[in-house]
Amino acid sequence: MEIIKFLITPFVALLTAPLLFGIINKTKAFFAGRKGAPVLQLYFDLYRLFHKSSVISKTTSGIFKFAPVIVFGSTLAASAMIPFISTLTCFHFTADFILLFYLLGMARFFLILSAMDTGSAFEGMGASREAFFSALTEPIVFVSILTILHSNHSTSLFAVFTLCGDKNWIIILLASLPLFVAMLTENARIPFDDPNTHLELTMIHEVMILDNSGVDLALFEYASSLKLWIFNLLIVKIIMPFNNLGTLTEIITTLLFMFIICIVIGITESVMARSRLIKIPQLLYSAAVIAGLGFFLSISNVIKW
Amino acid sequence: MSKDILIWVSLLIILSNIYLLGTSRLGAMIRGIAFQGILLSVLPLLLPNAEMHNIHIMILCLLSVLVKGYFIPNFLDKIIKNVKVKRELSPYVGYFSSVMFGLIVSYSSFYLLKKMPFFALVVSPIHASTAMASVLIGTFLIASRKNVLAQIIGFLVFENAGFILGISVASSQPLFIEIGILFDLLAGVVIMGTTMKFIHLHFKTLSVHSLERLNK
Repeated sequence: MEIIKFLITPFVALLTAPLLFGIINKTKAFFAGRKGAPVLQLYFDLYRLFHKSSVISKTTSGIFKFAPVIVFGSTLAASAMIPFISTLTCFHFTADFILLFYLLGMARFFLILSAMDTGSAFEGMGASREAFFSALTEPIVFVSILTILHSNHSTSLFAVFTLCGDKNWIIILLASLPLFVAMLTENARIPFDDPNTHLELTMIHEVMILDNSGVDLALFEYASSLKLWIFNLLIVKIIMPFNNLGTLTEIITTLLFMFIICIVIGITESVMARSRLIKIPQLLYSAAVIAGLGFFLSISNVIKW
Repeated sequence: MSKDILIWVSLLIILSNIYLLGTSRLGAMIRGIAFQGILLSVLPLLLPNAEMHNIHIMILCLLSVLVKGYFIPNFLDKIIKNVKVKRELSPYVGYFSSVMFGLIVSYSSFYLLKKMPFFALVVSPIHASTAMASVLIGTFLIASRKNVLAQIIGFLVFENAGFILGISVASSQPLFIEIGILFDLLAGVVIMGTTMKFIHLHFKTLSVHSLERLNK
């Protein structure tokens, strides 16, 4: 029975992750004045794809075949590192956030390998962009997480998220804003990438899974929704103003906050245009400036005078 | 609560400083300095010492918003529209390095302040450190840019730093002095703006680099 505690977050992630894309798309449809696809559309898509067989190109090697499983598996494993219900334990130890982000990094590494494995120049281009932008977002994510950890005097994400106490809103906002930008970049959302385009020269994530079909494609889509879910939960856990609720209330409020963040993503995508590729490093740079400011404010203790 | 607002204001001042360092468009610089001026003007109202909340401080705030948030930016904007120069093309120090410099200066001023002998006198340390960073950033803007307008903006950042430091260190000084400085500033900017116009008239550029040719 002990093991069930550790499996709760991955289980909830598997259950609710595809819903987030549905909410984002519904928000976008609302802003565009359309009716939009049903909220559960990604569930239907995944169901359909899981019942199809995959077509595998002759130029690919073994990496292309097992990459979807690795990507899906390591993303799911990463989801086990964040406590969904703060009263129950999850996997945690000193500096566990490094493992969390490097599990996501491993998923990305195999996604890039599988894209390059197809031998298509188009997918190689997408892979190169993915590697470039993720290299730029990684410092932002780590600096923000370090800020949060330092302001709570802790070295583990679990300890931070289960802590009840006064929150320093200046530090929290200065850390969660860059994390939000990092979430948009990592999950290939506007203004960094357009998740809807399939044959534009600007796309990043969609181009890498262009050659996958059937179950492989389903695993990639599922993994990308899980990744959005993980980042979303991370931000929610950082900014959630109350911690000591009952289990049921906590589940409901956490999910509610996650949906609100999805709506915010949807609004961001509706009001902004995709920025030019050459402008993206500048946007990430400014996010890094804010993250760095938060970090130095946190470690220099200027705020408490 | 008012302490939190104070910290936000000073954070926004730091961010606007970094924005000024990072943008090449002159219009954006003018908007940045106007934003900073308005932020500065509300600063005296938020400071924790209560004896300052009187009619004099209100007048200072109002005048400061008018001068720093309206007259100076409008004046500079008119000149920019007149001379049709939109952006600075080649500063001595690149924009990326400038932003880096701004960050390092802002961070290190947090630490440096604690070593200063007047630390005990400071009303709010975060403002004193913001002021220290602004002095250095203003000087850096003057030194690293060729464009006259960017140099004027640097001077304004420098002056703003003096304003913050004056408020946060010597809160009991007569406000008359501040108001006097405000009008000196206005006159100074008008003179500098007119000079800028003449530089453009003679050399068809706003770069001070061209002033080297004066001796011919």
